[in-house]
Amino acid sequence: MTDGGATQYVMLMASLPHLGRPFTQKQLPISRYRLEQRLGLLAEVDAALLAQIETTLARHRSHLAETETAAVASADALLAATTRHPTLYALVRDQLEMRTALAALRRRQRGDPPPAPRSVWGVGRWTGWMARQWSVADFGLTCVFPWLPEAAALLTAGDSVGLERLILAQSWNLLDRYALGHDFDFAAIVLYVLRWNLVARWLAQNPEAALARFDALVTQALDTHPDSLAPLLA
Amino acid sequence: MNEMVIVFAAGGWIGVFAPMALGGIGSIIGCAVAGQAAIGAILETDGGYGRYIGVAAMPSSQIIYGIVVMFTLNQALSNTAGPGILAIGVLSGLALMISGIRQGHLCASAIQATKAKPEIFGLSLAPAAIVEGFAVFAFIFALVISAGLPTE
Repeated sequence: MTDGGATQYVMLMASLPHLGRPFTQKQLPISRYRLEQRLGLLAEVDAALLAQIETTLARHRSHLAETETAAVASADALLAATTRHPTLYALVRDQLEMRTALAALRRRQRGDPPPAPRSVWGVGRWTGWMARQWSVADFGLTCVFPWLPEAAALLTAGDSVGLERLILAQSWNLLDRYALGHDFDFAAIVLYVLRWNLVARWLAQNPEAALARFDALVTQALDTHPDSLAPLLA
Repeated sequence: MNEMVIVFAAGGWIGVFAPMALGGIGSIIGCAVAGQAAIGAILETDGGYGRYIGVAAMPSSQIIYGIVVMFTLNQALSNTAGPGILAIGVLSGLALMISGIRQGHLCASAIQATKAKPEIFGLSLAPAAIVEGFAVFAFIFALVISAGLPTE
């Protein structure tokens, strides 16, 4: 059981720009295209695992999985794939448990009954506990997920932006917690990419940044192809 | 008795070369790690390349200390000095090797931190300088102790 060499990816990590403090960025410090170029330095097996982590976590976040069974199966496959990396295993497990708790809140908000015993509906150590504590406001898990009461309140109030911000902040804190002692190894690369995804998600929700980006693209288009937009501007 | 003399002599020769070899290993690994960080930082930044490379060369001092200790131990000594040379050489070499490797990690971290905040360049090198201090301790006291080895 190892997290790989502690200095396995010194050059790759040093070639990635600092992501800054959460939710203060005005733009991405590195584009996805450039990031992918740099990630080309990863070993093949590590690149495949990173892609699996990103795909599975994105699928669970955006509910793109076809069924709950498929979602849980992909999560289990990811957990099995990360057993060689104890830090990544714990990180992925915590991320999936966080999303399971959020899914439980949404299901309850929707008026669903508690999941049946032994049914496949979530990932992690708390699924059975949450099903048994369905009627308790925080599922009796505030000691494990301190953000649950606030998330429940935001969900009840219909404040989806506030809820998204809370989840992003909690995800960032989780990544921070696991970053300790991982400066130049594969875990550091995964943590960086997951942080990059959080920043990208945050910026995608920022209307000012979106407007500035739109203006910049229009200016660029007018500068490079002034004739192409003429019919629209006429 | 002859076998003992041979063993002591062999141990002595190991002790003579150990500071150079182990210090060299420390410098090789330390400079390689810090050098990789410097190359990565050069890819990302638009200037200050020279200081990144300069920081990456910091762990090279360990092999210099090792060479000096090697020449100090490599003198006409009595056969009974073998165990003493072995102890001083191997232990000082280990200290130099570990300090070189760890200093390389610290230099890589300093380069990484400087990339995000150029104004902390000097301060970020303080931990690496402290490790250098420990290597100097091992070096100096290896020289001091070796002066007490039996010559007859």
